[in-house]
Amino acid sequence: MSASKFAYVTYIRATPDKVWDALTKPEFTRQYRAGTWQD
Amino acid sequence: MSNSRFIYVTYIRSSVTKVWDALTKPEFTRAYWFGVSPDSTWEPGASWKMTFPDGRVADSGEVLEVEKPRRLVLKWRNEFMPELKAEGYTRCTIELEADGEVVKLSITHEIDKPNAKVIEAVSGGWPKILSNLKSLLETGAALEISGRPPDAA
Repeated sequence: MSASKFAYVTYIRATPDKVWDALTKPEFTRQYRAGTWQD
Repeated sequence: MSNSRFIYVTYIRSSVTKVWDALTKPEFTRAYWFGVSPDSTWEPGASWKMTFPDGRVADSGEVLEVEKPRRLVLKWRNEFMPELKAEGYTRCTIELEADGEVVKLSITHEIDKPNAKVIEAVSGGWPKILSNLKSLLETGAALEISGRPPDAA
């Protein structure tokens, strides 16, 4: 099988809840996603 | 050609000199790298080794290229897991690039054979080591990362 894939692992001093919110809530993502945010 | 390769990039709020020191000086590595201490003159052709706190050698090899504080290429063999040691020498390229107040740190760890177990092992180790390094340099404290004993880099 031929596929394209990118995998990345990082460890963050936080809780899963905090990281989840930071990935899904625009008030967080705006601060680290260089001006883009989720709708 | 078929080989095995692991690539990792992270950005750290620091200077290239600080990151270089953190990667090569035991007083730093002990704090974030499974307790290991590196030992080398970091000159081209010099030997290097990583030692666990209990004295066992974790990894060893030779310094292939040095361009302080931007580039370090190491010939690298795992020394404490026979199965990984048997795969022989890997090549690890460490590159640091300043971008304003941030350092881009890139690690490429590879070997000239397919599906190498040693590259699978370092693929688990490097993210822990480098996340820990980032936290240490940015916050002054390393992380408490649980899990397997040091198996990788």
